[in-house]
Amino acid sequence: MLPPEAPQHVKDELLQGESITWIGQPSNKLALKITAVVLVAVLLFIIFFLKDFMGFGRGANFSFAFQGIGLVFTAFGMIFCYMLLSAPVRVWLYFKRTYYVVTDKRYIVISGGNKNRKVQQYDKKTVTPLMSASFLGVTNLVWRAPGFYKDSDGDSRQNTLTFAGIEPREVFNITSETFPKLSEAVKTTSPPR
Amino acid sequence: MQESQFLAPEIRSELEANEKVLWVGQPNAMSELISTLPILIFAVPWTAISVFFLMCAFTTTKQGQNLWFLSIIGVPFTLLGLLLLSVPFYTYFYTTKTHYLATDRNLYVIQLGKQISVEKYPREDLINLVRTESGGKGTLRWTLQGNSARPSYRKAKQTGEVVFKNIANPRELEHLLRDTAKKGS
Repeated sequence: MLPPEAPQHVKDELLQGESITWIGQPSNKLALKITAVVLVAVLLFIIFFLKDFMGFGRGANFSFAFQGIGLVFTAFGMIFCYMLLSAPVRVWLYFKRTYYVVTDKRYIVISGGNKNRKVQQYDKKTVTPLMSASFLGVTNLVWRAPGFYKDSDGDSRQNTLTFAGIEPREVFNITSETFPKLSEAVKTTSPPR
Repeated sequence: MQESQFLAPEIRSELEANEKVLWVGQPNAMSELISTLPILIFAVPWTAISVFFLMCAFTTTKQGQNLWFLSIIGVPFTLLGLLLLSVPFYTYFYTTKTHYLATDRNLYVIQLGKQISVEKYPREDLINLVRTESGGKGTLRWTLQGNSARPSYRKAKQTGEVVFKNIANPRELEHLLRDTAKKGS
């Protein structure tokens, strides 16, 4: 049975005969809080750091070569400012466009809009509960998935599936599996002494 | 289904007997080229400044003495700049030599060139698909499980995944593979 509120691009991801048992999005509370934190961080950065650069070189008489280099720096600076100022919007859109879907066969995470989209699909049999962590009044569920990926340092990391920002009352609707608490998960994954 | 006789002989020779080719594709070379644009944007001023430094080292004199020995510092920077400038070209040509193949039994990543590299992955060893798509193009990324000691898994073992990068209509391929897997089982 498909919930009527599921958008078309989510419905399109289902296989023939597959039925949704739960569908949800990261909590609005979490989206608002994290967007607010990013917004404040951006504003603080602009106030304390960028304001000093705004009037740099005003009134000075630079040579033609230095003016060229100045233009390159200005272009890079504008790209940087755009990335900074759009960060809160991008964070907000990420939360609003993310859907977590549990079907009778798979866990699916769909992020992005109609044009740019990422769909992560995990067969239920292949993942095992790793931990549940409470954060800012919401619950994050993490499953261990097979395989690994290389992080930015080149280290191998275990693949995981995460449902972030779930309302605590929804956890029991998503899965009947029991998740270790974060503290227990830390104990079980810490190296032997 | 695509007939295997239309494939390049180098690719066709890699197939098992009675193996049916379902799909053949290549990464989109232009998308790969565009993805290297940040490197190019960085490489152009880097190389320009390095060359400028070299020229200054050869043309500047101080108290009648030539300062050419400063080029020892400038040469490695210039070489690195030239290397960075070549990344987009290398990526483009590497991409045009890469072929992806899906059959009823395996997925292949084939690299043609002076040395032919063939990676072959049985479909039953590939799980948990991640699809990233943008404007009709996209990437399919499977996690590899099973007997990773097989020689052709050497490359995938480094990353733990098999990737069909920047292909056209990734969703269609995903559906095709799912449909044929169902029929097979």
